[in-house]
Amino acid sequence: MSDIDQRLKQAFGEHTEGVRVVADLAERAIARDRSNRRRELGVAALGAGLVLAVAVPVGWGALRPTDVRPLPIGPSVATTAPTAPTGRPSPAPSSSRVTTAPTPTAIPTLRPTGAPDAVRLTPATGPVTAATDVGYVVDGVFRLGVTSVALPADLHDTAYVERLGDGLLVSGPDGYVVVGRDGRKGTVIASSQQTPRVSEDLTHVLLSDADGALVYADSRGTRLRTLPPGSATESGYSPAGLVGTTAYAARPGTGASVAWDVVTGRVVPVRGELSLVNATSGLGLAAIGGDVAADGSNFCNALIDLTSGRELWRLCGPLRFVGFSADGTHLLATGHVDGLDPWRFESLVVVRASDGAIVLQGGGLQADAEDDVVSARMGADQRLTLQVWNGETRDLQRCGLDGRCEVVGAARALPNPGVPEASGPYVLSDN
Amino acid sequence: MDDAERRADFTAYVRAREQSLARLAYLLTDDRDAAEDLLQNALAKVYRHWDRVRAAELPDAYVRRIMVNENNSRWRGLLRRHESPSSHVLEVLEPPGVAGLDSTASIDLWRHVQGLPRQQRAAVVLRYYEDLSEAQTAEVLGCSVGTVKSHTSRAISALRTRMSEATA
Repeated sequence: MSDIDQRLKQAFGEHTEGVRVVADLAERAIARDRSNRRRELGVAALGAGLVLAVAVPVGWGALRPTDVRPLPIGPSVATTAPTAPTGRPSPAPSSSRVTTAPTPTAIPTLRPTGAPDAVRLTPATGPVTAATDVGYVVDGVFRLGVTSVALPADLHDTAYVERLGDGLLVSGPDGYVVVGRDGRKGTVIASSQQTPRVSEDLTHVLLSDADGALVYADSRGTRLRTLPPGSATESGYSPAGLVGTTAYAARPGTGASVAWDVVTGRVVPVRGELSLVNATSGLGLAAIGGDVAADGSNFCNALIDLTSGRELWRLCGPLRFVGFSADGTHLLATGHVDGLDPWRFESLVVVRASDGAIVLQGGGLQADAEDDVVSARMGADQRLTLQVWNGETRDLQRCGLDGRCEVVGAARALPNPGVPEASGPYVLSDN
Repeated sequence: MDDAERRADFTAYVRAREQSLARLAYLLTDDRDAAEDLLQNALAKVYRHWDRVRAAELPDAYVRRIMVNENNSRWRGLLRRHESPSSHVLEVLEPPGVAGLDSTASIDLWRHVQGLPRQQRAAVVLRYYEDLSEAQTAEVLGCSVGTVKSHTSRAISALRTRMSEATA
């Protein structure tokens, strides 16, 4: 061994001697995985390199970096008035409607760098003065109006809940499990996968399973149809939503999605990576690849009329979309996108679906700022239910598009201060 | 394996290997925040594919590969998450120095290692800290043995030059 070999070993030894793990690393990694799943579709357009690292690694080759494959995008103008979304799509769109729609010659492209004209969110303080019609879990109990369901003990720290049939779909240590109105656990449909999407009428759910296959199940958890993930090196499907019997799902890292008719089994490719679908309006939001800018300014999402395949508008900027309002008239987003520094938008941004305008903003530009909005849902009555950080605890608030709020859930401490990425203490239902 | 078993199995693996993995992350990044982020992201990916990682029988090799790839990703700087002061995963104490050895020279060498291109740096860390063979290093870096030889030799040559310049 040469002199420099020995000196290298010495240098490495010295500089790692003082490195110690001082937290529960396994728990943190599991929390990071959960958090990543929530963020992946939002950042998919930033490039295939990131998504590649979560592709199913059947061999070493699957982990090697590949080239970014940006989607071709049509010309855009900033001033063209968008057309309001039209009607509700048919339950099972034909392939021609989804795939062969001509690329619009003038897609309105919005490039906001801030929202100075948006209404400011003004969270309330003090005791509970109102109620919300959005369901949520707190202290291991699901609450919706006067209804409550006590969850089994091993589901108390769930990070996901959604109404399904007469009961609930809840994430737990065994995977996504059906829970009856009596609080009893039923079928575990799938384990540790992307966020499930329940149909508008609560009768069915779309999930992906451990192998990335897409699963269509009924409200009792019975698997009715399965769409295999494709070749072993592909990353499988990430559910976007159900419109009637058409299931929409992204293929992460490919820039594409599918529309799967669960009755006929027909699969039709859809352009862009769909992250959100709203059955009421027939709209979908898809990440569209483009050149990456370090400030996120070229991070584009397109609002698509699923019936015609037509892009209504494209919004490019450092925003991560997290959901539609129940009626599809608005989209909820956050400007808190990891790694972008500084953040241009606050933790809650409400975008109008008809024209892409930012109508409400709040929550601050800093992580953990007072009034930081941790999670948000918007009902068909166009009122928001928000989990808000107040500096030491989180409470639940109900706010209008005029920015005024009322407290609907008392302030509570973080369930685990060592895991700041945890979603509680309030876990809002996705429907 | 159900999810509870999977979680327990993964947790046992991490607890057994966490100090070693943390040190590798620190050597690859030379920054506590970056090492924390790298470590958590890499292990999150390992957890997602834990069934396959376990089945591979060489989880360490797999984890090292994810860490190196993750560290080389051009998106990492863009997408990094920062811990709050109260939530750090790693503690990094100043190196105490080793009796009888010239710690100044060691610190200088370390500084020069930090200046190496990422692939060269990863190659020397894997070869001289992890004690991997050239073939094992090639497997982790996803390149040929010849490329590992080339990375290592260029790195050593650069380090020799910089050290001799510093001495002069």
